Amino acid sequence: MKNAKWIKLAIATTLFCSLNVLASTGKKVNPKADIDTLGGNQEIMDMAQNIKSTSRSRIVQNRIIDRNMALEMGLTFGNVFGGDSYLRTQSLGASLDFHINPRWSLGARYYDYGSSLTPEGERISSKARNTPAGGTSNSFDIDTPQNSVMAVINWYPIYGKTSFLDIGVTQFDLYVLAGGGQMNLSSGSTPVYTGGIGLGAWLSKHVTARAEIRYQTYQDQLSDGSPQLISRNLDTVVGTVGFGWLL
Amino acid sequence: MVVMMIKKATTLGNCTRNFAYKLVLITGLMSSSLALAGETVSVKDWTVKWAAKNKNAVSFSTAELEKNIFSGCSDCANKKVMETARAEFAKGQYEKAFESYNKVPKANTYWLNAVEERGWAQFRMGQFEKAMAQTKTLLAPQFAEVVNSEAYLLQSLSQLKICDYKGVFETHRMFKEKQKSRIVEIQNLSETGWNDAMTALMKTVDRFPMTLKDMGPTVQTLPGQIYKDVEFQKQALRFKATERALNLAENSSLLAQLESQNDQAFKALKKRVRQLAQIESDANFATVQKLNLVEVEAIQRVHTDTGMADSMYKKSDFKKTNNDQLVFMDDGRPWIDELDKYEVSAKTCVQGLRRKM
Repeated sequence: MKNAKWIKLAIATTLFCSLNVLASTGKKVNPKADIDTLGGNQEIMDMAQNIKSTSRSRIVQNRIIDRNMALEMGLTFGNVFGGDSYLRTQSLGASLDFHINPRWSLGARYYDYGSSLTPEGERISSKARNTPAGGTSNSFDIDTPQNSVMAVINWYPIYGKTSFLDIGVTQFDLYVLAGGGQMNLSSGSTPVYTGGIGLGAWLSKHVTARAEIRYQTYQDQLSDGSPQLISRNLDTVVGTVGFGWLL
Repeated sequence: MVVMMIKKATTLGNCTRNFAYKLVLITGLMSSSLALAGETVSVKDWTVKWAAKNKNAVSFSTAELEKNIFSGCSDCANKKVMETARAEFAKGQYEKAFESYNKVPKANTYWLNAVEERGWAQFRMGQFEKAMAQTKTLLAPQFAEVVNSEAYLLQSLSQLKICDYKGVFETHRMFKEKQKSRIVEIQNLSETGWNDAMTALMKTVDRFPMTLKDMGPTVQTLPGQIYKDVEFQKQALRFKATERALNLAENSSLLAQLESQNDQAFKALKKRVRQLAQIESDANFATVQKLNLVEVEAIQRVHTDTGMADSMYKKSDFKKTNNDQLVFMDDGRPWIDELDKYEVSAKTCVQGLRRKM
């Protein structure tokens, strides 16, 4: 009841103000009477909260890059973490990804590995080499990765965009990938399996950038001095960065 | 499929509060189009050349220069599109008008007008959610202070139509915050014909025809799209040219003539600014009137619609998107690439409802 009285008063006041505006002959806006009163009634605002009408808004924009049935070629540089503690391995790679649509792509990857001994590897290797004939030493053997070929499937469930120094807006996708192939080691060929996450940034209509972190597993073959080689599972993490060209 | 969305925060959000930055954004959006003719001339260079050629001159005229600068039309195509769209709108062919407005590219000085007018076309077609999607762009922080005041009316009316009364009051509050000072400034300008912005503009401007970029921050306190007015540009050119020539002339009779021409140009410029400001003030007056009426109606309806059954409302959902589209939440701080990309979905009251007090 109290509310109703108050509302009637508010309506009457606002109507009065509006009529004043209509009756104004100078066609001049009176800021205090005509503008300051707008939307200024908190109690009415509170009442309006109870009305069931609502509106929501969102932004829908097209992808800048068309990745439907598109081919992407790229070059990558990577580093292998973990695995054989005597080896430090890096990779140079080439990639070919066929984007079925913006959500899925199939890829082929080729990596060429270069390895060097870690300080610990150098120490053990040197110790083994310098052991005089008839002396005792642990056997030292390494099975270095030479190259690998893999097929992967990529799923891009997360997207976003970023702005670098207000130069422009770049859209990107975060993706997961899984795949497998063959790895050539110094001892021969062995299956390799991989899975990981990556970020693909679509820098322009054609230029792309990718960064990936992959888990990679394979078996190497080592000699412990006996005639039989020992198989060992190697679990490694590979980090790669690269640039690509979208055709 | 679960789709997550990430929109990385950048410094852009903070920058939008800065008017200079807004201007850069607007200018960036609209820099491709000149208001008037093709040839751009530096008044400083022109007067220096004129003085070198006419050492013993006894008269000064910018007629030839004006002819060169203002005889053509550099953005006729988009001007024609707007004229066509407006003609279709006037005939009530709103669908056609909407299509025509869509032809105006984002990088054009008519674009903001096109967005507003297509919003009105959608409003007339009863597509209130779509009209609100247009006003989302118009009232984005980048444009809220420089946009035509009618954009607020369009949003307010659309919200009234769908019974979003809270939205009506919020729009009115925003109007008060963003437009009041401009409305007052333009109203004062309609009496004086001159303000600080005009002084600043006349101090800095040198190239004619002036573009939005040349106007700089003065656009906020001068009539909307004043730089598109040929008469304004002509008088500004005469004022600047005679002012420059005064510094170069040596002949006393020429000096006297230049002083008189400069004074005439100044008076004519003030008169034109007054006229343009009056046109905008009249439009602002009408808009404020209408906003007040919408507010009265909204207050009344808040009272009558409280407790209205849920069955009296219709809820719509967003259109389904495809893999080629990215969806971001509206946080009220759109990035420049997001303007014009809004979608609005509403729970609306039944149209044509008869209310009893």
